[in-house]
Amino acid sequence: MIKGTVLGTKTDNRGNFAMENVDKDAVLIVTSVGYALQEVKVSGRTNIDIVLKKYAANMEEVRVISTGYQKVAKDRITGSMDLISGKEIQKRSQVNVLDRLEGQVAGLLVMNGKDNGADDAVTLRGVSTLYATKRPLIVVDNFPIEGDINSINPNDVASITVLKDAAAASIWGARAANGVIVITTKRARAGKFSYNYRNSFQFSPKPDLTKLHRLSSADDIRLQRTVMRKADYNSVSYYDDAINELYVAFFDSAYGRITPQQYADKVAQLSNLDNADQIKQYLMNTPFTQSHSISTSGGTETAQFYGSFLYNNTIGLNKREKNDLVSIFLKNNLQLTKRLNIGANVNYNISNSTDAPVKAIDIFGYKPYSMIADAQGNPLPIMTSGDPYNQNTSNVYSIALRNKYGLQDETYYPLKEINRRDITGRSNFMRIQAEAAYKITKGIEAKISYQVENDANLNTDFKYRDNAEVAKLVNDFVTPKRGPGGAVVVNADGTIASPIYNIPQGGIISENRTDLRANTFRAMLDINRELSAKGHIDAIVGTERSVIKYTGSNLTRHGYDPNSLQSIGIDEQRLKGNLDVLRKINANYYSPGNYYTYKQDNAVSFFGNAAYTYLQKYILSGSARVDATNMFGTDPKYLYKPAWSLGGTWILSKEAFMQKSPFEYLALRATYGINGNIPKNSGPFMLARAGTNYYNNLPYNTIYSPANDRLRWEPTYTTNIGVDFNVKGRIIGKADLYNRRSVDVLSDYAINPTYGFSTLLVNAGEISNKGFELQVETKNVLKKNFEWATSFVFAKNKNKVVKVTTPLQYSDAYARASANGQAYVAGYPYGSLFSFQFSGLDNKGQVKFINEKGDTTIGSYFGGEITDVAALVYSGSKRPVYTAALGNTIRYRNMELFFNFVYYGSYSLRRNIPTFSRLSVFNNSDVLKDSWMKPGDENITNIPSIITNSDYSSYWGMVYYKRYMDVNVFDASYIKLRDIIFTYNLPQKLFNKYITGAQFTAQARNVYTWTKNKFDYDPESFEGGRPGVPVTPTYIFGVNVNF
Amino acid sequence: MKKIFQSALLLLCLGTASLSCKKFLDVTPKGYVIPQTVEDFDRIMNGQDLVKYMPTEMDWLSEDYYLAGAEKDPQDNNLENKAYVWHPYIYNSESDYQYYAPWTIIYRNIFQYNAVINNIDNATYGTTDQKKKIKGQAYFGRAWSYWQLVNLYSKHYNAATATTDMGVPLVTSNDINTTLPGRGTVKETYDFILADLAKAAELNTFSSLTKYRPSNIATQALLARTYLFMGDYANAKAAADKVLAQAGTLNNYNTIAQNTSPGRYMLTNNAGYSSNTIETNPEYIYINHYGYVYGMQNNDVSSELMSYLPTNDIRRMFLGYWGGVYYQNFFYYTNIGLGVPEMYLIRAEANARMNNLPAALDDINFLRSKRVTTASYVALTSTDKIQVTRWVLDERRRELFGKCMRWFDMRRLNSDPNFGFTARHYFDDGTDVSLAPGSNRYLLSIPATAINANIPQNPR
Repeated sequence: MIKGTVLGTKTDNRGNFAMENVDKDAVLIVTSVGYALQEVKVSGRTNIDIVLKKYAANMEEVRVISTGYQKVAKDRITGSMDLISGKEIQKRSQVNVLDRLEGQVAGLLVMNGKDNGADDAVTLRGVSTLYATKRPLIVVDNFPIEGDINSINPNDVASITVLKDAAAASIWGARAANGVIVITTKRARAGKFSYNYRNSFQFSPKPDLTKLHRLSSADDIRLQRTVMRKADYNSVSYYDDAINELYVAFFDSAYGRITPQQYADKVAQLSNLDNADQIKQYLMNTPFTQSHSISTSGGTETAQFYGSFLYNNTIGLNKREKNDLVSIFLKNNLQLTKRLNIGANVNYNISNSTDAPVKAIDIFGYKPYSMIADAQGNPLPIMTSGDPYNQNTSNVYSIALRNKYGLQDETYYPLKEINRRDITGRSNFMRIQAEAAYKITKGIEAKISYQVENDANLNTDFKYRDNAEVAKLVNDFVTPKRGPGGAVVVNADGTIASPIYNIPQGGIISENRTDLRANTFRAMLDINRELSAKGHIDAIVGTERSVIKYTGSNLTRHGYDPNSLQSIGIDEQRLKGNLDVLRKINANYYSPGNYYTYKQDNAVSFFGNAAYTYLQKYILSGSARVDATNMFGTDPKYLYKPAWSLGGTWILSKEAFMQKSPFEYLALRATYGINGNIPKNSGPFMLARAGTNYYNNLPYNTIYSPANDRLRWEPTYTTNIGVDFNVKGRIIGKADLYNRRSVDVLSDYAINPTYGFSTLLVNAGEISNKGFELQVETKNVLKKNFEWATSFVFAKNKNKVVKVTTPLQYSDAYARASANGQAYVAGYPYGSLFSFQFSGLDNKGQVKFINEKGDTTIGSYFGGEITDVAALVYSGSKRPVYTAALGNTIRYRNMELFFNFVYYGSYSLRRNIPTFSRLSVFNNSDVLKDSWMKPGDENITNIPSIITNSDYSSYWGMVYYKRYMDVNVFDASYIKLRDIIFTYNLPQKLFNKYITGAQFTAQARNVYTWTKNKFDYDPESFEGGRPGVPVTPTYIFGVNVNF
Repeated sequence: MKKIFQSALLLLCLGTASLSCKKFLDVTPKGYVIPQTVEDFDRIMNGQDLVKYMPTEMDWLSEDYYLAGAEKDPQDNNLENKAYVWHPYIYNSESDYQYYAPWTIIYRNIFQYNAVINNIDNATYGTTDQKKKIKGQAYFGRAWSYWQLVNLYSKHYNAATATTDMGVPLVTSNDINTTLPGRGTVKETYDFILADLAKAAELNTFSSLTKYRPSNIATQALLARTYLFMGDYANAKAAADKVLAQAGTLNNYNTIAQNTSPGRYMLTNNAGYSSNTIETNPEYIYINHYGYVYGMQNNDVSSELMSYLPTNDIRRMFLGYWGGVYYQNFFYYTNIGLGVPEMYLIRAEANARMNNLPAALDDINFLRSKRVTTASYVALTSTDKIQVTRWVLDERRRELFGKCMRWFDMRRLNSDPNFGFTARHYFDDGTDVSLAPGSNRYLLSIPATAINANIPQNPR
């Protein structure tokens, strides 16, 4: 291509090219994928040989970073930014692009543990808010995406820029406090169309269920037999409490329905059962994912095209669990005139999923002797808790009675239930971006861009008429005819006389729809211009407005027939009252839960930034942005408060005095500025809650949140000092030191109750994050046939909630301890665990606690309650302080081996000591197998007795406090060998003009874990105080062909 | 340069499109109730918390009950026992301040009333009459709330010292960013209550479809009570006259089937049952309940109270007897609001105090004739002002027992030259704790969270 013109050409297969009528002083611009851009002066020559220079690998590969607003050369920035190449993304195999960043960005914490909320699973440089989102802002090309991150095909990613400090991110203003991750998709390139096909096949073995540490049948029965009571029969039959198999046999024996010998035989039989193998066999698949992706790119100088197509098919762990995804991404770029360039891209995803009606883990949660199939594989019923939401249970007795009444059978057969419910989801995601850039003059462009996103989801849950849950619900709401004394009137054959079905018989369908529509419009000027021989300026100024609308609805219909599509209405008004129905416990009312949701966020922003580079070694940058949204108060003092930043870089290696140093590159960076975060759960309006006055049934409103016109975004002040270095091309890296201080954090704040409210959500909290980050890549060996490089990423984040009024519900000791990290307390990190102090067991197996006065107590119901939070001790935070990753890449000829370790250090989890409940159908954690049984055991175990004294003398301690003790907190630090990736590139000589390259990969993920705790708990599967389904290794094979 | 200028101009145009953002940002969120219409505000007045908030500790402060097993130095979280020993700091923890202290609860209601008063005029959809009625009811509610506050946290109204005794902060704004008013004086608080009641009387000239909301009669009834507590007997009588002229019906306990459920429910109410009699009970003017719906039910009554209830008094049917002690029975959803009997008693006391003894005797005799067995009823007669006044006050104890009035009367009367007393609560071992006339303990402590330079704590 001739510089300054639109004239250009391409080479043939052998690299020859020819051009006519070329000015003898022209400059040729030569570009090729994977090679550095070159400018070659023609200088009158007619025959020019050009040798392209290959980009150096990895960190040197991409030299332009994108902030989502502008693309800037890497050596003209002041902020702390990390750049991840597409190659690194495509090498890995996680579904989610963000998960693939694990271990590649210092300071980016990807928490795989299940004990984390969805929102704080991925954070950058710590958590700096309580009520606003904790996730970094995700930007794709030019715009933030509001839809699902999974809509991004990882194969389309050209590079990812992570903006970490104020100077880097502040162009995103009030949404930048959590950092920004900018995903840049592959460009449409001029040239002959080339194609790439890539596939992968992933599978994981079924998990080892012993890692869930369930109490064995024998232990469970041993413990149960110490606490069983004949009198329980009364409560079971009165309340329809759930009971387990052992208890059924016990009652049969206690009430003389079976002989003591039969009972002993039954106990022995149950003790030897274990349903784990059956659950694996009948309820689990071998998870398998196949993925096929094809992409193409090509075009002329004036029109370029990139397109990709992805098909993913996943078979999940549970039977019937599967997911299909088709993703299409099209990108066009048109150079309409010399000055006007327009581009547009469309991303469209369709995904269909089927969820498991019976989850293996749920069935595993019942007693280990609850067999689901007999020796021939025929379904067996198990004893369940019924509908978990209403704690509404059935047991063998109530089921037998209702069967006698001639009502539907409520017996739960896991293997039959699999086909009695269809849970499906459909998602359509579309994103369209368009941009017009007009080159006004040299180095100045005006750009108008627009994005529309639409994410529409439909989730359908259909329960067939014979589904046990449906049967239970329908039966529960049968109004019987009552005789004298309230007895149910039955016919001669025992069936119920003239029942009224308040909930119609037949299937229940529930449809949930959500729809997200986001529009963003932006106009800006992009300046990239040499001001003089010595100075260069990169600047933008512009404005943006966005509207995001979330709508949703939920519809439930009863008596639904999937063939005729007919359904039967229910009398909701009638079901709201207390009905005389067969249901025995809890309130006798029912609401199908139909609702609509709507939310709208509008925002207007003005922004600008500028970076001035002097002598290519001194860079000064500044930025400012104002965001106004409808979520804020109207007080102008706060409405238009700007986010801003200042930064400077000094490239020392370009100084004359450094020319003899070993540093090829050495730069110092320092930045300071304010970024923001927008909490969306409060508003400047007086909000009321609606209800019905119990006394006179009149509808009422109660104002629960006063108008607060000073509501505003949460500013985070960040100071960052960094250094970038490159020693002789062998040691390349960077280090950063930061201090982030988030003030005006929306938090519960105690106000004078005379105002009418005791606590309010106001901008009054403060959170501090201090940290250090280091990233180093060393090229240990650099030979023609053998290369070895090591990369090391390390981050430390020290988080502290400096100022907050702890929500009042956590001012009670038990509430704070059981909050399990949710209670924010000033002076402690986000996610802090608080525990009761254990001081041994007494000779009755009861726990001795130390109360706030330093006295020992067993927590008598009469005066032994510990309410003072001073009795609690801090047991560490659930967020790691240290994260690190160590990766090695070894290349020998055409083979490459990559393996990396990830480390999460210095954080805490707590295993709970559950209360052993007698009748329960649920299994227990095997911590109970060491329970105190007899005097003297207190010397050998810390696990209290499962028996709670009937005189209530240890009620608080044994029922509540023992669950949250300091001795059960453990250091959750772990190291995982996350990936081993072997790549084989077929030798070049095998290829022809049709196939230009091919690669085979074999990969293993999560093959080895080292944990600090001694309980054999994998912190990544730990959930709710006990281990969950273990993370199994995944094996992946794939082919990648270019043609 | 021209081009730069042109493009800057273009950008400016686009920018100004964004600048018209005030309207763009003025999006009213959905999915919440943001009170805007008259109906929205009307519903605020239906609030359940507005009629169900008073903690039962207010009756544990009174002499009417006996707390079995009471400790002399109760634990910090045992509010009943702390009230029983007239502890200087009954509500003494963060959660007490937030959930239990009457101060917090009543100011929460005042916020709701202020929201109505401050916004109803601009509310959409609705007639002027509707707005007047709702606003008048809100004025009543605010006066009602301040009446409770001033009679819990300030000294009893004493004309001589009312201009210096500390009142309660008179919050009228919904803006949490404004500075709170200080405590002012008792006089100012009463003036404010009277002013609110005057506005209520002016605006709310209507009856109410439910007695959970104040009618025009309720305004006069609260006015009568307020004047009585100010010692302004002429005005108290005038207001009581207005009430009784419109609503003077009393139930005759002689004709109600005693000791059967319907009879008791008739008198005490049971909103939870299908035969909802509370709204139809002619003796009720404005209905309020304890925060704890069962109120003082099943608590032992004091032997002192029993000494006021001879066996011929049918009101004994509200008591149960078990294990040698009398306890309060059948008081689900007791009405602790305003009622017709209280109006007769106010008028009787006002007349007695003003030495209109025959009129005073007429009223209490009329009330007694409906309360004691017809066979044993003998009309009281006397020309001794002190005696008649004492009869009226004794009748107050009998009639208003269990209705959250005795503590307020104790505050009012403990230093009375003729009727003053030292209150006592007894423990199981026979010892007692006493409350001397004029004790600081007659004033509750203000939650520590509410104390500031302008809102000082009561002397302890």
